Parts: sequence; structure tokens; C-alpha cells
Amino acid sequence: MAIDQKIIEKLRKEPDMPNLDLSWLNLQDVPGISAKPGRRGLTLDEINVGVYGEVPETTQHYTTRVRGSVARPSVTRTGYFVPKKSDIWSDNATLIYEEGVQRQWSSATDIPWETIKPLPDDLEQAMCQLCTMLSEVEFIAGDAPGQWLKQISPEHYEVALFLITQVVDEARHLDVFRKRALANGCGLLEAMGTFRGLRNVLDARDFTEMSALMHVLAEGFVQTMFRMGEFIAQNEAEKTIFRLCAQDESRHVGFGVMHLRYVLQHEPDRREEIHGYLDKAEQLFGHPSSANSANGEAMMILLGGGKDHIDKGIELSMAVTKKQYNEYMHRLEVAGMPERRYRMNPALAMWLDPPKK
Amino acid sequence: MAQQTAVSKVKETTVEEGGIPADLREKAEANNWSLLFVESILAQGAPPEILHKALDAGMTSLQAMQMMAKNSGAPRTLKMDWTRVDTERGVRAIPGKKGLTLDAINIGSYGDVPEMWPDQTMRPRGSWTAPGAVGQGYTIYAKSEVWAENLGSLYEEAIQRRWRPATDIPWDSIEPLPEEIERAIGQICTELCEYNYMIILSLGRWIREISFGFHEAKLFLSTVLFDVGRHYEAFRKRALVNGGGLGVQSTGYRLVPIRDTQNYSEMAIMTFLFNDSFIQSLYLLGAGLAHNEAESRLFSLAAQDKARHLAYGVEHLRYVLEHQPERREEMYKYLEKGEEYLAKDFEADVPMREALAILLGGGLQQIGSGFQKLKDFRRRQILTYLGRIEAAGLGEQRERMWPALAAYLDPAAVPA
Repeated sequence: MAIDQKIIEKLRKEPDMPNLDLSWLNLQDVPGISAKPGRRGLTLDEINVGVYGEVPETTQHYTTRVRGSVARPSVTRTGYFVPKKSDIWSDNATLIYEEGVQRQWSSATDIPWETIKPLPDDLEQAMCQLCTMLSEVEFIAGDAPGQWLKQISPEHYEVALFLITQVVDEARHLDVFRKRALANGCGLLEAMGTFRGLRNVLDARDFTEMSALMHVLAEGFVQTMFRMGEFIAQNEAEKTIFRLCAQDESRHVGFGVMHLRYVLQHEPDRREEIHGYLDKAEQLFGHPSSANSANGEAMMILLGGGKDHIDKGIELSMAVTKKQYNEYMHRLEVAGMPERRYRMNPALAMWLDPPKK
Repeated sequence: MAQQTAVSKVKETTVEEGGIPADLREKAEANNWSLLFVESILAQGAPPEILHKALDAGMTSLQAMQMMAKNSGAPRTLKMDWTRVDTERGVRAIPGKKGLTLDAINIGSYGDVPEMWPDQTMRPRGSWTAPGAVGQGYTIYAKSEVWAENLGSLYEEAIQRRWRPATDIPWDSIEPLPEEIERAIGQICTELCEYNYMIILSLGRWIREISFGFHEAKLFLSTVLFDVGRHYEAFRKRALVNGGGLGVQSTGYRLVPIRDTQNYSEMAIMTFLFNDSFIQSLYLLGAGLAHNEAESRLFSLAAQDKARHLAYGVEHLRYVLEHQPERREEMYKYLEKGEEYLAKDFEADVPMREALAILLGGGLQQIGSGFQKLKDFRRRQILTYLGRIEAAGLGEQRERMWPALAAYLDPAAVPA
């Protein structure tokens, strides 16, 4: 693309015309591009073509310059970003960003609240206890990525956009579980503030540390629970809540698994370091200070169908736990850490099925 | 309101307090058994000898757990003490015309937002937590630092009015445009991307600083983050969809006051009131000058989002001035800095100025008339900004305006 210089020269001679530069009209380094919408519309993958799709392995810009635009040398720096792509990247970031935008839902209007009818006290209390816990813990997965955003370079903007969808997803989760607790005659109950494990996510000083603990471990466990929502839910509203939340969590877990895989492929020397992060998180499982009878009992009551069916509740609760730990191990295998099976905290490892050949 | 100290909850004996005999603990640890499991089995009344036998037989704790779950004849008992914590009960929020909204559940004590939130944990407002909860590192505990009365309704509106750049913009309505027009749009989109990315960099940090007593603020800001992420995405897509491309990086001057913010209200005013006011004018101009349905929808939807951010900015400043009137002069200082940097931006950002003049004039040949229209546009931008500041309660800003910016109020005196 080039603008006729003769026209520009003619314009410069017009009376009352301010000084014209117009050099930006003849940029040589910025190619024109005509991205075409695909079956899913005009997605990030569609526009990530040519130089605009080249994600640098290491970023050396410290401003808000948009990837592919022409740098202006005099601009004030914005701050320090994580420089290496491999420290933050996940190959599915664009795909799940677009999915995250497409699949937003409203807790106010997409949940059939009218299907919630009065429940026996034990079931209503148990559901409210579960919702208190979830309203409490879900937004740690909003706060944590939020605090990392300032370190994501615009040259790796796809990661920032994905993290943003996660923040708004978790906002809805905080919101929907609070709404459920206050919708049917009980209220909020006991928060689990004494559990130290959640601090691990906020304490992370490395992006991969944060992602492994939050996406792969914590959100993985929550996702397994959400996917068991059919057994926990007492009505269509609750089934919808768990189904929609599970859908959201799948994206977050998916990012974490693929990020871990990317790190291990591109920085294989970090394997032991990552085991160290998992050691730190897992060791709290089975430790007495992590015990929380409120949530455990609530789950048993919900799964059993009432406190008079606690045997069934215990059995199903154990099945959920077993599923959580096996799915956690499966995610680590997909990410490229099959050896984790043999060094996992025994309190978790004892639940694992034998490895599949 | 739940009081942390108002609960008569009996602390159970824990392992650390001697719940597990020393020899059993030693053997359990040697066999990689979960101590929590051992504790819970003992708490259910099982004699330690049974566990010794299971350990001596080489059973894993899972095997022991499954065996005991099936074969223990002892009645299962639940503590259920969590049902007796001191929180408000009998709450039954009713969905209204707009569904079950945040405002609809802000009833009884659950709707009481304290002036100072006392809790460093993630405890949801209205719930109870046992003493000993660990702090989570929040720094904002005063309501007046973050509050605006419209937070709940703006959050719900943002969720309802979500849109998808990939599919809600009729991209196929974009036809080839004259080169200079396409380049001008690309330049403006480049700078809008930068602006929105700056907010992304800034805002995530502040959401994390807000304590859980003010969850409405965390939720609304999350939607703002989602909005600006989509704006970044959508304007990048527009720049790359029609043969043009991205342009030259902005001067970055107008971004400095956002980058530099050191307290929440400073960030909110610099972002949602000062800069957003000028960006909103640009969005509306973009909708008015649209060359196709795609641009019209894109700029209109972005302006719809931005209207919420501005509504929060105005209400928040109003709230701050009502509840912390001693901060009035401090707010003027922030606006002064914003104006200073914006004036530098207006002066130094030649590509943006020329791109706007091309679009306002209707083409490169008409850039002269475009410059004249740009002067009028700047004047209207500033007047709109002043109107918002005055509505929020800072009526003296017109007299205190940074001179280089105030000059735009008299278009005849401003060189193009």
C-alpha cells in the first residue's frame, strides 16, 4: 500500500494547511492484511497470520506497543514483562479465549431459579454450606490471574486475553453460588478460611507455579466436583449451575494442562522444579490442618440424599475423591509428567487406579 | 452480620493435640497412611488396635478405608456444627424482572456493606469463619475507596449485554476502502488497542487488592476487564481485516497517568472518568463516521460498554467526595496530571491527529477541512469531560484546567 507522494506534496502547499507529516501512510514495515472470517467468525486464529501471527520467543519491548505495529522509540516504558514465551504460553490460548467469549452466561437469567423448591433442612443447609465454600474459593482463580496480567507482554497478548475470560468466569461463579445460598430459605454458613492451600496460588512467584497449582490441581479438583453435579444437585437450577461452571472450568484446566506441556517441551530442565511446586501443594492433602468437617459432611449429605443416608453419602463421597485424584493424575500424564504417579503424596496416591498401559 | 467471635463452636481434639497414639502415628506415617484418615477413624470410635492390625497386615489406607466404610457396624455420626454458626437464616431472594440480580440478593444482613471490612480472608460477606484463617494479602478495606452505589446494576448489565467480536460484528459488510481511509482506521485501531491493553495491565492488580467485603466491586471490575479485553481484540481484528494493517505506536503520554496510579481512587478517576471520557468520544465518533455496518456496530457496542465504565467513574468520584471530602484537592491533582499528559498527547501524536483529520474530512484530499472539524471535536471532547467531572462534584475544574488543554476550548486559538 502506498499513497501518491504528489498528492501529499500538493496538499502541503495549500493555504492554512498545518504542517503535514503523513509518513505513517506509507509504512513499509507493516503489511496490509485481509483476514477472512471462518466458520466460527473472525477469530484470533484468523487474524494471526503473517507477521501479525509471529509470537516472539522472547519479548524485548517494555511498552504497550501492539504486536505488529511500528515501534516509536521515545515511548515511556510500561513495566517489566515475563520475557520468555515459554514461561507463559499455551497453544490453546486463542481457541479457549474465543470459546470463553462465546460461552458467557448470566447467573441472573440463565439459571431456572424458579425450579428451586423448599428442601428438607439437612439438604438445604448442605447445599448452602457447599455454596458458601464455592463462593469463597472460586474467586481466588480470579484474583490470581488478575495479579499476573501486568506482567503479560502485549506481544503475548493471547495469554492475557485468556486470563481475562477466566477472571470474569470466576466472578460469575462467586456470584452464582452466593445467589444460590440466598435463594431458598437458608443463607451462607461456614467459610473455610483456615485452609492454607489457597494461599499457595496467590503466593506463587512464577507463572508456571501459579498455573500448575491453580489450573491443574485446584481447578481440576473443582471441575471434577462440578461434573458430578448431577449427583449433588437437587433441582434443575443447581444442575444448570454445575453444568455451566464445569464448562468454564474445563477451559481453565485446559489452559493449565497445555501450558504445563509447553513448558516441559521447551524448558525440560524445569521438570524437577515443577515437581517441587506440586509437592508443596499436595502435602497439605491429608494433613490434619486441612480438615474441614463442614464441607466434607455437606458433600456426604448431598450425595447421599440426606443425613439419614450417610453411608451412601460416604461411599459416593469417596468415589468423588477417587475420581478427583485420578483425573488429576491423568492431566499430569497429558501434560507430560507420568512419573508424578510415583512421587505423589501418599494421601492422594493411595486413591489412584493402576496406570493404563 | 456474622460475628467471628459470636460462635460457640467446640474445637474437636486434633491429631496435633494427641488424638492419635504415638505408636500408631509412627506406624501410620511409616506406611504412608493419611493421618487425617487415621484421625477420622478414631473419631468414629474405632479402637486403635484395629488400625494396628490393618497396618501390620500391609493394607494401604485406601483398602482400610474401604473395608471400614463397608464393614464397620458403628453408627455414623455427623458433627453438623457448621449448621449452628451464627449467620442470618431464612433468606429467600426472589428473582425480579431482570432475573436474580446482585441487588435482589442484597437483603437482610447480606446487603449490609460495612464502611470498614475487618477480614483479611476470602470469607464471603455474611458467612462465618473459624478463628485462625490465613490472610490473603488484600489492601483495600475501606468501602469509600472502591464503592459506587451502581456497582451491582452495572455488573448485571455488563453480563447481560455481552457481545462477541468474532460473530456479533458483520465483518463481511466491510468492502475495500480508499487506501488513506483504511490506513487511518488502522492507525486509530492501533492506538485504541494500546489504550485498552494499558487498562488490562493496570486493572488486574487492583481487582486483587480489594477485600472480599466488597465483592460487588471485584465483580464489576472483572466485567470491565472483560470489556477492555474484547475491545483490544475487536480493534485489532478491524485493523487486520481489510487490507490495511496496524499503524504506528502511540506516544503513550495519555497512558502514563494510568500506569502511575498509586491508590485505587486515583486509578478509577484516571481510567474510568478522565481517559475513558475522551475515549468514549472517540468511540462515538467512530460510530458516526463508520464506513460500513461492521464499524458502526463495533464502535457502538464498544461505546455501550464504555458508558458503564464512565457511569461507575462518575458515581465513584461522587461517593469519594461525599465520604472523604478531605480528598477533594487530591482528586484535582490527579486530573491535573491527566490533563497535562493528554495535552502532550494531542500535540505530539501526529499520526493520530492526521488519521482523525482524514476521517473527519472524508479523505486525504479533504484533510484541511478535517483539521477544522478536529478542532471542534476536541472542544466537544473537553466540554463533555468537564460535564462529567462537574456531575461528580468537582465544579471548579473548568477554571483549573491545564492551560494547554484549556486552549482547545477556543478552537480559533489552537493551531491545527
